[in-house]
Amino acid sequence: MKITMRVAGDVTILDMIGNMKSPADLEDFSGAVNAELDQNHLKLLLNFKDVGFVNSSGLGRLVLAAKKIGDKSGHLKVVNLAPDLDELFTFTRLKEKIGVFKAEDEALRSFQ
Amino acid sequence: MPVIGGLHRTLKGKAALFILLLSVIGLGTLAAMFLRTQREMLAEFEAERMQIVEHFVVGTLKPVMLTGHADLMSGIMASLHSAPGVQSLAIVRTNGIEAFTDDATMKKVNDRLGENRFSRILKEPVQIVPAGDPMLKRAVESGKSDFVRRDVAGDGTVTSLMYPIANEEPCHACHGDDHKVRGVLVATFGLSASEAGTLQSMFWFSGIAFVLLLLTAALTYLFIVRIMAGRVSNIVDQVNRIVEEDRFDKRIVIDADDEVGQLAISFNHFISSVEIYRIEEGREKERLEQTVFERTRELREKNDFIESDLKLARRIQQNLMPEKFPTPPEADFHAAYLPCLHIGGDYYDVFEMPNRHVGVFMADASGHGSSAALLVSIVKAIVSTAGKDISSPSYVVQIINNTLAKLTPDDSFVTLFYGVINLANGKMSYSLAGHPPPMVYNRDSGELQYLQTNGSLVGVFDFDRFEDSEYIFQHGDRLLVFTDGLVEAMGEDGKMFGRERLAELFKDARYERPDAMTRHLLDSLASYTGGAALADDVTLLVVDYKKG
Repeated sequence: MKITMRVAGDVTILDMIGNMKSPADLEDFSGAVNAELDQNHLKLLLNFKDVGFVNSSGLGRLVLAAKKIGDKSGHLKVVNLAPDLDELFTFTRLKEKIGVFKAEDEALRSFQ
Repeated sequence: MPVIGGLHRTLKGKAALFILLLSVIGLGTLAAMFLRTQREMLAEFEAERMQIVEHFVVGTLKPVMLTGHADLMSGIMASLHSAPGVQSLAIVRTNGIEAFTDDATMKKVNDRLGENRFSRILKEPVQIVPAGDPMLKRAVESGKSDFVRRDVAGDGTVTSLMYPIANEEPCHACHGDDHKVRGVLVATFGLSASEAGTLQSMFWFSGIAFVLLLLTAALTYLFIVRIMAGRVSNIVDQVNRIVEEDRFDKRIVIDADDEVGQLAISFNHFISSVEIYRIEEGREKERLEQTVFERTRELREKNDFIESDLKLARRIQQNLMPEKFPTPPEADFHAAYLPCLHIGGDYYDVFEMPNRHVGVFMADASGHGSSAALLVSIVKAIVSTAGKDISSPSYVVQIINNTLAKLTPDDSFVTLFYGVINLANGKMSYSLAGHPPPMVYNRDSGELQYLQTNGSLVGVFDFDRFEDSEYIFQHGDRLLVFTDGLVEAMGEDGKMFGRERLAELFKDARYERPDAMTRHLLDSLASYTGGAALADDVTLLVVDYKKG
């Protein structure tokens, strides 16, 4: 998957394009997140606007990222989930572990 | 070879002829231009000489004429007449008769001077220029010199000059002071026909000699080219043989220590380089083949390991699945399982519990292969030992969570459904952790509902809290528990099978027996995916509750 980074204040936004299912997808995702953690960027917002599918392995990587940032007292949040993914986050109850927002400005405000 | 041979033939044949013709034409043109230039130079030379002689003659005669000594004048005239390029020279009176030769003029001068200055000249008057000659007339009347140039045979040029001599002040003693033209110097300059012919012959000879010299040089050049081309062609033939026979160990014969020999030496250096390169290339090829062989062996070994791993995972998973289900009168149970190519981590079980309770269990481990199979093995072990507690399914889920959180990597987890059904009253306590919500459809009422999730992913978060929920079965209820492999299966259009499609099929098959219904669902799935390999395990578990 393709991931590009942009900054809004002290929040790092990762715009993700593609699926999170193949080993290469997972490496791309983990690589991008770890690069931000290495620079001590602990407020991460994942933009799922162009993400189509997340399988169980992808979900595992996402949970792992959330745990890593949580261990450093940081925050991982997601925005723009497609209906299928929103349903996945609901029944896995990940919404209780990871902040999920419908709009980017709303998500950015939540970091303050 | 064709190209080189062509060059050689061209040098020997058409090109040689072309060069020869070009040389002759070029050299002929050069010779003509040379002769033309020579002729123009000759004409200029003659004109210049005429001017020099004119100035010399006039400059010499004038002062002597003023002295009035005719004998001295006559001697100087004779002397000037023999000067180079002077063909004729005379001073005439205005009527064209040669001066100093008539008594009338002598007497007139002697009378004017009052003395017998000039004795009688013993010479008959000579008409040098015909009386009334136009050129003479113009010279006398205008007082300006005039000349006419004419060509003579043999490319010579002759110039006739008429130079009027005015009556100047020092002459007044003899000739009065009228300042009129008193006489005219008539002279002819130029080369004679024989001199011009000799000079022209000399020019022609020089031109022909020049052309012959150039022709000789051209022929010599062609001869050398032919010899050199032959030697170069020989070198090319040797190179071609080396290439054709693939014998880069051979070398070209060096026949002389000149430029062609140097060319052969250069070729030999090149051939040596090729030979060294080919030897290195052969060694590199051997190294590559060896590397490919080793990598292939490693790949085969790894592939064998993976195959073995998959076989192990498949065996583990097959051993996990129950061979048969309980058959109480209150409920029918049926399950279907479709493993994907890579072996997923699905697991299900239906087992009897104390006091007419039945446990219904389904788990789906993240990932694939032996790691997923290992996860569900742990789950099954825990369920087998702790799962007989009918009071709280969430208690069992809690144990599974705490165990997996300690034992497995942070990105591994299990989703699960664990329901404990009291067959006597239809009450079901269940824990639904991170798992797709099961559906319950009532045949009689036509109502479809989903069980509510009450827990997150299992095995990720330490000491996460899991809860129990309750559902009371009604008569005609059918419960469908499934893994995400079913709803996330991709169709040919790239879209997922989806929960709504499943729900519709589930409702449509409400009057079919559980086994027929699961077959119906799986047939629909296969049709939807176009028979493509599944990306994840698909598991279905149906519970038909008959009492209520």
